[in-house]
Amino acid sequence: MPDILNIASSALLSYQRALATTGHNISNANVEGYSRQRTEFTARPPQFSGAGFIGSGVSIESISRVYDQFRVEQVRTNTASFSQVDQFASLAAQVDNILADPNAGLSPALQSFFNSLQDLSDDPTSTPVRQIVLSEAEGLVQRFSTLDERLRSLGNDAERDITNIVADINNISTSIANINQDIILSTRNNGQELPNDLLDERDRLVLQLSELVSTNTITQTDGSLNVFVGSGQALVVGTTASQLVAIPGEFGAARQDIAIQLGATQSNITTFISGGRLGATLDFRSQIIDPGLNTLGRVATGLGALFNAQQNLGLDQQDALGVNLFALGPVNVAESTNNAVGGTPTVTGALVNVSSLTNSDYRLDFDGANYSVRRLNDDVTLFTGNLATLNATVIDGFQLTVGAGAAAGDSFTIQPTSTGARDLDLLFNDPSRLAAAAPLRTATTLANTGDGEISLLPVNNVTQIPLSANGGDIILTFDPDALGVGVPGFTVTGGPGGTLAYDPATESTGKTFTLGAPFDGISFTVEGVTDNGDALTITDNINGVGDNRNALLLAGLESAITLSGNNTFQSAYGELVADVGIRTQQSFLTRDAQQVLLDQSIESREEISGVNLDEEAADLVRLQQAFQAAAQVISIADQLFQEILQAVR
Amino acid sequence: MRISTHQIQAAAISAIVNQQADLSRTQQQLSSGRRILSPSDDPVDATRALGISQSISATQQFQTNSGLAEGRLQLEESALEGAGNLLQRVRELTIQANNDSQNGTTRPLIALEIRQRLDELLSLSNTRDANGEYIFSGFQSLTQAFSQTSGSFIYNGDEGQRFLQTGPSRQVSTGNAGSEVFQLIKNGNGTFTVNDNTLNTGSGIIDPGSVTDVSAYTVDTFQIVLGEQTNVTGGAIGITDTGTNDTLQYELRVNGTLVYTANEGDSRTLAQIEADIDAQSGTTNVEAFIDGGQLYLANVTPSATPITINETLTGATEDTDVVTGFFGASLTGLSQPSVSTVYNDATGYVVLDSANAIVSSGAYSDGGNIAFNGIQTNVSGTPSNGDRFTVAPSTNQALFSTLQNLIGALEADPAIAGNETEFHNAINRVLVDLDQGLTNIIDIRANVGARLNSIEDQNGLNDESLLQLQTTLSDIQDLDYAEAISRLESQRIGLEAAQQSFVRIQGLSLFNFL
Repeated sequence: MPDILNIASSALLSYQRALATTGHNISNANVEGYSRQRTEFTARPPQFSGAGFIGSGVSIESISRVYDQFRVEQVRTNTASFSQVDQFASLAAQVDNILADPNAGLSPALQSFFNSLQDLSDDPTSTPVRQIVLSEAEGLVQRFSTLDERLRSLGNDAERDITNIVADINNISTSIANINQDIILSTRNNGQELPNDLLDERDRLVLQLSELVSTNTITQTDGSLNVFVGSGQALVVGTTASQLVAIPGEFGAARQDIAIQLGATQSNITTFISGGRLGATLDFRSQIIDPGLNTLGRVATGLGALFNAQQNLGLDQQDALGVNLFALGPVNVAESTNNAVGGTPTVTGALVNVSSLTNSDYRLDFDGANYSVRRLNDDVTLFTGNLATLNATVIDGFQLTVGAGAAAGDSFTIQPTSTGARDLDLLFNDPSRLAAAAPLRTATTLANTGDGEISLLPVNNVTQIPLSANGGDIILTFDPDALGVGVPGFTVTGGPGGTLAYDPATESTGKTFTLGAPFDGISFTVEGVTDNGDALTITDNINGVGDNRNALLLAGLESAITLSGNNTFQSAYGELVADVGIRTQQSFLTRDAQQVLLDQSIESREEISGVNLDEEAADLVRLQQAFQAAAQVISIADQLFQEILQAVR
Repeated sequence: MRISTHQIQAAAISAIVNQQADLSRTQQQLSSGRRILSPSDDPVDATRALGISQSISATQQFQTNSGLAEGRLQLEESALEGAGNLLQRVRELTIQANNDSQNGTTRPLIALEIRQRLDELLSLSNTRDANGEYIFSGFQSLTQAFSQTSGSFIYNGDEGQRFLQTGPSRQVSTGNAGSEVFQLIKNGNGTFTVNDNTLNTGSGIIDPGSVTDVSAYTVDTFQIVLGEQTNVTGGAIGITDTGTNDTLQYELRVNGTLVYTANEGDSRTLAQIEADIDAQSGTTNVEAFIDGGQLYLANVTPSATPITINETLTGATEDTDVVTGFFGASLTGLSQPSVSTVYNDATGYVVLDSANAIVSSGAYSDGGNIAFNGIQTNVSGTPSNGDRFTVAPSTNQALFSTLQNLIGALEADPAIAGNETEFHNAINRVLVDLDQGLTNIIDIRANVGARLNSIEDQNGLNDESLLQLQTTLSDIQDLDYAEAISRLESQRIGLEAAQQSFVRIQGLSLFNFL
């Protein structure tokens, strides 16, 4: 009898425990990352009697979580990937929207500016029209600086994100280390009896960590979990967590690097970081923000410099040569924090030919013997050589001036365009200073008997202009024997002097001349039949307020291929829009794909570990019935006992 | 396969959320009318749209420019039309004045009208556009183009021409410099100009002439000297000595001055005769020219006085002596010891170049062709001996000067004899100069018309390309409403189905039956 009671009570206890586990499952059905638990029953060791072994009831062998390490790791990996593209997509979409906005993008401002120049060429004497050109130029400058500022502020947000994410990573890794401690203490039986809920909790933390950065994990025999980031840098080992720190970047504090604190030293692991929101933020910075700023800068610097150059070749309403309208950004140089202390040379850069500028930054390295300059976009080394050659070489449109005293290993970053859009500014606001006129004009002497005509081509340099200060008007006088008997041409008075061969008999359809140095900026065409003594004059365009030749050339910059890669200003900007658009579009597509992968892996984990309430309900019924049956056994045992008592009474 | 209850819900919610996102996107497209909401929707097309928008804006700017260019050209055109009509009227008046029925009293009256026309021409040349810019001042458009200072007209502008951009690679000039329209006009027939000598006394009127052979033409100033084609040709003047009585003497007097004496047995070549006559030209006012074996006599300066040649034979004679090569018609033998030849009107001409070399000569006939140096002209009327006409290369002459010349001719006193001829010569010059001016204006007007046409053409092209660009832009970025609306409908149905099925499935639980 006691046997029966024992057996029955063992069953009651076991089923009570199993019902509790089912209840636990039901209560945690909606807890993220919870793995359902299962009660494993086992028959108690039998007792030996003459008749053989007699069963002695049931006991609970273990309460285990239903869990598949592989599926959990799948979820973790996919989470890191998904959260990276998701974060990248949402960051890139912000830039995408800024660039696309028909009212806020650069295109309308560029268009208005060049249209105002066309209006200037239509009506060069009008002060209101000139004022509008300046207003549109101001608008363009503002548009550049607004776009630059918005990109820059997104970049600053990214830096703040990096600091915050690093702090989050540190919190989570500390928590993992603490949980490791608890798990080690709770693990019994040589790792057979595990604290299921703590394990779930740790998995959840690792999953959270994966959202922030890609990780690798290894489970130790004592139940603890080691977590690694980057290329194997240990974030958590057993019960200790290392700290990540955001440190000032090698080439400027504005761009932070990620380092891991190892004792007193910090090891820079930025280049190894990938995945998660941290990886996305670093990518966003290097793939969207920096190229975006450089592209804007390139368009701004190119536009400013080329406009200035053409403005310099024209004549303003005050009869003076045009002065620069735009102030341009500098070539930025940043030295590495690793450079040898003391004796570091000064490095400065200057723009030489804006049409050759690229979107890239450059790295200047010194190996102790030679300097090398590398373009970072495509990692092409453009220059290797000694100091003197370096200082004399124009690289992609800019030229460096490097002082002496570099130590081997010194390194500098050169950014020719990074602040071009921010630093573009207007230098004057007097509308009469716009150089709409060309500096020279022609005159045909009234007494000429021939019908020779002279027309000027655009000037290429103005070193000898105004002519009044450089030898006076240039007069071409035709002489049938100018270059010797029977060799006709012009005798040049003023300018470079000398003679120019021109044969009206054969060249009257037009011949183009360029004067000799230093007047080689002046070219012109002569056509028609000139008679002996006919004079054609090139003179300063004084009071030529109705002249629009330079305005046309300024307006023509709009459609001219002026930037590297066969780009106009507009198409260079278009490249940026396309680049950001494509990256954003790709990140959306990748995000959708990653979403599917993540969903599948979660589904696959849930397939094993998730709680199904119907299943639990069935279990409840099953266990309740077993419990009721066991209770019935006790009741039967009681009846048997009572019947025996009755029989004896 | 197991599925967790949580997963059922999560999947259903996620499906609903996705459907809502799609629906919201379609709704945004519908409300904005744009297919591409941000470049990432279609980076390639979005960038193309940027480029096309730029082209549209540029094309619209070209149309604005074309409109302005058209306005400016039309203004120039009307100024030119005014100038053309004005010159036409002046030309009629000139022909009217040239009529011999007019006289010294009536011509100044015509000059009065010409003076008005001159003022009108000045004001046309100073035409200003709506911005107050002088359209004929070249680049110096705020400076008055022409001004009159102490009787002469001065151009204050330059040769600049303003071009406007009317197409991507097309610039049209929107004006012509005043110098080109009013000033740089070749006088005469465009190649050379003919001028009478003011001292001419005859009634010779020279034709403006024309170039007949461009390749033979060289630029030089020529003088046509009208004089006498004498009958002294070929060999010489001489007395053939046939006897022993050698005392026959021949004396030649020009205008009473003895220029040479020849004894029996002497002979004088043409060149010697020319030299002899020229040696006395200071006294006689007569010079001689030889060309083509022919001797010509002409007064050194134009003169109404006839040239008188006296030939006298003196001394003893023998019947057999023969005098050859003399001027007079009847100085033969001993019976006519003296003859006097009087040349009244010119019968020949000689053409001299600037080095005084003879380039051509011939007999003069009224209106007869005078050709040399690849050109031809003629003199009509009755020129006097020594009357001269100059043929000089054309030079530029402002229209104002032409009109001033006309006024000068009309207002000159025609009462003096011979002035009628000078008047006609002057008027003839004015007429060709006017024709040159008119041709110039007509040429420029034709050119302006051509430019207007080309603008018109370009406008057509611009309109076409604008339409093309707008169509393309619309294809690229505008929404296909029919497609979007049907998409919206199907997305709405999808969302409703997801929501309804979610609610149904949520209700299914075993716990409901416990």
